[in-house]
Amino acid sequence: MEAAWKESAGRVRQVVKKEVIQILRDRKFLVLVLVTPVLQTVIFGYVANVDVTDIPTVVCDLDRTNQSRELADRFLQSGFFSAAGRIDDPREADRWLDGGKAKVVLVIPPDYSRAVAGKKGAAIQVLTDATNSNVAGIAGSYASAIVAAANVDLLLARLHKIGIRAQETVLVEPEVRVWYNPELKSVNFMVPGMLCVILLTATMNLTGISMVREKERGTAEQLSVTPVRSWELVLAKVLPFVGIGFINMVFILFLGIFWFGVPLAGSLGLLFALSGIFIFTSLGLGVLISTVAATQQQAMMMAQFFMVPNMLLSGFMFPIANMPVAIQYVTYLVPLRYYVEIVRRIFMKGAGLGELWNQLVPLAVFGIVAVGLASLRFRKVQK
Amino acid sequence: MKFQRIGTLIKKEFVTIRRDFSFALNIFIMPLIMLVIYGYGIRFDIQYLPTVVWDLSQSPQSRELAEKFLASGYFSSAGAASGYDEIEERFDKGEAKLALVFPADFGSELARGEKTAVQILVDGSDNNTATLAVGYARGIVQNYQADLVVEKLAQKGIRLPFEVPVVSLENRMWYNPELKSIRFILPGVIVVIMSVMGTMMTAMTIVGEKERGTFEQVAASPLSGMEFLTGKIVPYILLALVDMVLIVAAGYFLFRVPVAGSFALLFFFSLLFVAVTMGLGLWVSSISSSLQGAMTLAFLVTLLPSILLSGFIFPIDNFPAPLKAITYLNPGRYFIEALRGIYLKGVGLSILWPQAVFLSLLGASLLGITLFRFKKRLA
Repeated sequence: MEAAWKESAGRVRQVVKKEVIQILRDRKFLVLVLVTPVLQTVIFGYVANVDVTDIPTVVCDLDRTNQSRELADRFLQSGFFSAAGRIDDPREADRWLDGGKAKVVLVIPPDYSRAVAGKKGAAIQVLTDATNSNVAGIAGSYASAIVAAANVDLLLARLHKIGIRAQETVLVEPEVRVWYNPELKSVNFMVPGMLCVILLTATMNLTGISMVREKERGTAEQLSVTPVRSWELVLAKVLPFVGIGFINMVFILFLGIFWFGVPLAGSLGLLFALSGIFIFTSLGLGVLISTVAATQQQAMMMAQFFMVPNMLLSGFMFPIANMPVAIQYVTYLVPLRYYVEIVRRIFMKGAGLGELWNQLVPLAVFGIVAVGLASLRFRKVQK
Repeated sequence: MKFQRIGTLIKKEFVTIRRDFSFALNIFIMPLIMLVIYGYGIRFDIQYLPTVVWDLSQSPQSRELAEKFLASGYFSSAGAASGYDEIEERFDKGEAKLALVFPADFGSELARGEKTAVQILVDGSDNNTATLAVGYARGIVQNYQADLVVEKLAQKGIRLPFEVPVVSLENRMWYNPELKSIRFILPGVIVVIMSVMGTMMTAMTIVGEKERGTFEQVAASPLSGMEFLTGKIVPYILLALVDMVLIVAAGYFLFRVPVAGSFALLFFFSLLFVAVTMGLGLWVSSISSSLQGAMTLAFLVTLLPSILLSGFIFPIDNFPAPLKAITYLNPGRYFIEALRGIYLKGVGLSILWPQAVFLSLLGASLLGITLFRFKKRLA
């Protein structure tokens, strides 16, 4: 028994060696495979900035009084909105928003100062370019907080004027604490997600294609007449990509933690261990794809086809909680979902194995099914 | 250039495409899946965010403020909690995203007219939702404060000679009043699909010939280099345009999103964009020797910029300066701007001419460089 194992391990080692040589020889490919994730992480880290600040804002102040200027300043000095220009006619708002030179137009009506001193109160308008729903939503919530604060100040000032000193009588301070991500930095949310997606690409796509290449070139038949058994072949083909996956992971973690300063609340060891399980799953999927695809092109297209739902439904960019209920159920069918959850929880909440097993079990089940199916199909294809 | 030869080649390419089910998956089914997932919605505004209350004061004031949160429509009740541990547990399980903590003397301090505070704890692990929640929560507390002042005065028998709020906000969302994700995603899906078609497919089909060694056969055939490239590329240009029309039609028939501007202009921009992506695809295929490499490179130069650097998801306004500068070289950026302009804002060339100029320049220079490279090789 032991001798058989040794032989088997020897054969696997030989094929791994061949694979590694093949990969090392294609320098361009190697550089791309190693550099792409790094570039992706860097770009993502800088770009995925939904900490919306300095939204270009045009002020249309029709009142032109101290009060109206004060209100405009509340917007422009909040850090959320920055001045992109001034207009004197609200109809010009079209031009600014249509051309994309401003995202927000603040319209202060001509009777603003009279209205805030009068009986009815004033209404101001904030026009937001909502073609990017995400930014528009955030701008809207900022605006509502600014106006609510202005309302309180104006109210207190008016009371003061009529001789009622209310300043000291009532004050509720909202003490906001954001847990897990106190500065609300989007890198902290995005980098862990990015890690998952890159790992999936590196392992699933590349394995799928590498297996099919052998088929396409006819070298699969050559391999089938060698003493290498089919499971040994699969294992040997897959191992180098496990290596590449882990190397990518180390690069991304390094960049994320040291360059972008994403805090890792949980254990690095646990992160690697659970990533091993994910890599197992995604390699299984890659091999499965390779048994279905006849050409590399097909393998690539299928892998890509599979990537799309994985990216959209994993909660990597858009939170699952914000999806309609029916689609939330569909997300349970997406393996990446569980891994994204695991990585984010380890990163942000410092979760341990005890809190993660409910994500781990479905992930492992996916992996076992994928690898099982893949090896069944692979054997058939070989015969 | 003999058009008959090119015609035959195009026919051959279409036969290959038709035989391959994986093409159909990507060309027709993927855009539909993307549309359906996004069409039925990802919300970008918060609604009924689950909120737990830890009320140590058990006073009418604390209940009133908690009620204001729930009545706003932004937050919904996820029950009561008693302690930070429990709040953390509820956050961890995802059962709550926000927690209100009223200190024991919240009610009594307010009654005595002293300064007090309410703690608002937010699960920041999804920072987008958290940002929205913080904005709305602050607004609600401020409004409550104003209400308290008025109430207090009313108790003392003082009736205010004016109405509260003194100033109110009318938030108007242009082009997409309900912040629907379908309107946000439609232009994005078009850009992504056309990038895939244009660059990836072009690169794949040409590098495929190279890898199989059929490239040299072509060189030996009476086909000229230009004829060969044209024949290989035209099917994908056609497919890319068909795809665009398909997505627009699906957007209209499934989700009732009409094209606000001119369809002809939309078509014109799509043609320009396809030309640019083809140029990129040719460039990729001219420098890659393996399909695997071509795929990775194509991903790097098209999909990545068209998703991340185009302003499709992440606003370019927020980018650091060097990245902002790079986006000017990204065809996806101009195409997204044009699509949003035509699709949602209904604007015309008088506003979008810079986008048209930049796209044409990018396309012309890319196609020029790569065709030159190929001509040398195939001559």
